[in-house]
Amino acid sequence: MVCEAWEREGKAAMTREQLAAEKVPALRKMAGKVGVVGASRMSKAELVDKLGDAMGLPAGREVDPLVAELEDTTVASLRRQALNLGVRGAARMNKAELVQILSAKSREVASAGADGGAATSGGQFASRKSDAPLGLSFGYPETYGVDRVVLLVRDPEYLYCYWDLSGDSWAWLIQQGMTNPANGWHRVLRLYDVTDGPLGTGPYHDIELNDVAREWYLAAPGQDRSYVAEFGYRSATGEWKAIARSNLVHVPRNTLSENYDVQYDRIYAEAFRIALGDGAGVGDQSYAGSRAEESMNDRLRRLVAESIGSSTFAGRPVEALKQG
Amino acid sequence: MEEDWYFEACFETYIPLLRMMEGLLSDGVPFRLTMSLTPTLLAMMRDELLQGRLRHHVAMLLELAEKEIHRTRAEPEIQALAHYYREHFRDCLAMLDRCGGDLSREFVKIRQTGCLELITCGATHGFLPLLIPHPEAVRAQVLVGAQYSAECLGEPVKGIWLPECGYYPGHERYLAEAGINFFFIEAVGVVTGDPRPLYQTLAPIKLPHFPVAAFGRDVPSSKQVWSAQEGYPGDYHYREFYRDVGFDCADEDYIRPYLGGDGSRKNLGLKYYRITGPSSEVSLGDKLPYNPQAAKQRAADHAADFLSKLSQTVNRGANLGIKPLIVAPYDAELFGHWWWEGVQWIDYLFRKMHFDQDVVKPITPTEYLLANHRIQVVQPVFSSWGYKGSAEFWLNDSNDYVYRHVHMAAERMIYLARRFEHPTPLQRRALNQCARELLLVQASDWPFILQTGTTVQYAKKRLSDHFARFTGLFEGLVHGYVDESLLGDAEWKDNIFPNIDYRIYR
Repeated sequence: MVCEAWEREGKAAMTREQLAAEKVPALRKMAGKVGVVGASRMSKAELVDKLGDAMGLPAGREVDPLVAELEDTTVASLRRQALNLGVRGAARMNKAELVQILSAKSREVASAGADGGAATSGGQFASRKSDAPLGLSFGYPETYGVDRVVLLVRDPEYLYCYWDLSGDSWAWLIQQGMTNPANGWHRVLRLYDVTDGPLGTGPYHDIELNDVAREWYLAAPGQDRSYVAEFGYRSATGEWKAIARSNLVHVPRNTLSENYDVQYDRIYAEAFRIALGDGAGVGDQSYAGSRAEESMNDRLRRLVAESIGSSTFAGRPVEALKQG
Repeated sequence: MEEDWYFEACFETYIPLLRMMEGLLSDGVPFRLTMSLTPTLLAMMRDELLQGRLRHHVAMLLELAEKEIHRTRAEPEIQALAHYYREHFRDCLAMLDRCGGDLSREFVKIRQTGCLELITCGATHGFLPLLIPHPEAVRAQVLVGAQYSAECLGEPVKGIWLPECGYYPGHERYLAEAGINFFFIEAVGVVTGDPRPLYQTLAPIKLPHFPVAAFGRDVPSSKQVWSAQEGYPGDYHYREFYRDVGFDCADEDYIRPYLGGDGSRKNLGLKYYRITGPSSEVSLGDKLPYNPQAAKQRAADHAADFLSKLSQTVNRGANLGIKPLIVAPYDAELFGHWWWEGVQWIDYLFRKMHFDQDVVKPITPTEYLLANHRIQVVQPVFSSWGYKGSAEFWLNDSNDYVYRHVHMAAERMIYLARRFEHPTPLQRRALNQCARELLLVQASDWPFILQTGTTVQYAKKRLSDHFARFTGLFEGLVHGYVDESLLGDAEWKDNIFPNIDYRIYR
């Protein structure tokens, strides 16, 4: 698109901001036309830079630090931030427009004296993307504007996690400068092992996330263990700001239990009529098993191999965990 | 389309199964079969509109079979098959007339003999291990399913087929609350249980703290029947599923009245060819005509083979000092629909079991539990009967995006249930409808279809329709107005669970 506009109208109709708003493949194509070499190995920022130079576009204006910071951020991320802040039509805005709106919004929040906590959203159920008459169509909203992180167990090896952020949290993050990697903050998913005690007493594992991911498949650090995840930001010095905490999950054992206790019971005829009594406390938390074997049992492997199914797991960023 | 699936299941699986059971009973064969009639299936069987359409559909196929007898007069082998199908559709019509159109009544009738145990399923077949962020949602799937089954079948059900055999620790609490005493579990879920089970899948286990037992699936017997390559259904004498007159018939004008409104080709259930040979060697066009007699003989052979394998398992169990229990669950639609001779196979299996031997005896789970057997107490682990015994089939690249919306809908439902203590009649209707729409978005069918890649548009449409109705009603309730036309439309389109009470989400 940029390519055609440039050819049609020349550089008068073109700014670096417009370049920055284009997709990378389009920029690469453009690079070919204007004779920038090595474009396929360049990052987007470099591409815009080199293209701008090659096309003789004027250098960017002097800007204040907040705007510079926003300009360092990817368009996708800006768009998401804008959506989170309830900016209408963000999906159709280019980077320059996004930066302008976000910086204004962010100042607004700052001057309103946001209390600085990872507050929960007031407009919890306010987000609806389309104005189509109710019941006619459903556009999956990009966000529900609620701070949340959810864990699911896929199998004994992998967990699936997704998250969402409220507009307030976004505004606060931007205001604190935490969304800019240059400030040393990292977006992190922190997985706590809560098998043996409450959150914080056991080990945890950090997974560094990129800006655009909204979900992640993560390797389970162990089997027959319980986990809770926190979504948040970690500073270079290790300071931890949690924004949302997940539900508790239990990763199943994938080996035979080493507990050989044998205890019998019956399902008594009366039990067929008994309603659920109180005090029978089995929940996710009290489900604690014994230690699992180190090596996979052969029979078990065969069992799993023989399970029927025909799907294969198509790749997605699945990151091996570092010990926290 | 969904209607076609239901019709095929009726005249290829449910009616043949009913006829088979009636035959066994009239011949004095004491068979034992456990069947899960899912709430959604029951709802379809009881829907008067669908009953009328099903009858019309079968009558139409009967007419087609009669025309086929004329059309195929030059090919005696094929014509004999047209006669065969005419008989089949006549039998189907007779069955429909006998039960007044409601097939569930026939199942209830056979249950009264004690040979058939009917169990329930999750209300809309939601895959429970992926609904865990909201325990209320899991509970409602179980409770609504059990309540609706009891309503339809006239008495409470004692067992459940967990959707996709998906178990997650702790869910037994909701089963117990629903008065359910047993469920089935994938072998790996029992074998890795804690403490280590003494008999693996050869005996059921009891869960700690609740009067609930779990029956582990026997892997070899499942595999023997399931796999199209190594299992029985791939036998070359068996009927070829993919050669249907609905696709094969070249005469457009002749076949059009029996196809869908848009004239698109579809299965009609008249299939004239057999599998013939491996698909690598025999193309679909080169298949040989089907011979029902030869196929029946193969079904008898396969039943004998299966029985001998069961006997071997029993003998192996005898070495462990127990009377082993073999649990062999299958999709009902495997029999008849996918594997045309499967119903005959079950028929032969029970006859041979009764007349030819005394090693293997059939039993229902409730019979087993009421016999007061001692059962080992074991806590099983999260598992399913899907790929690798895990949730992967319903949670991967193709379908994972669905869950954040499904979970959000559950969260909103819980919010509504707590917020509306004393709703107006209109609000109450909207709240109950929200509960229906939520249950419908939770169906595991949608992520399943997204993963398999066939009829994806249908799944996306259904998902988005239910989400739209839910969200529309939700926003109306929250903002203080309920769009009555939207509500009426939703009530008409998604009329399942007429007696649902939204307060189940409190």
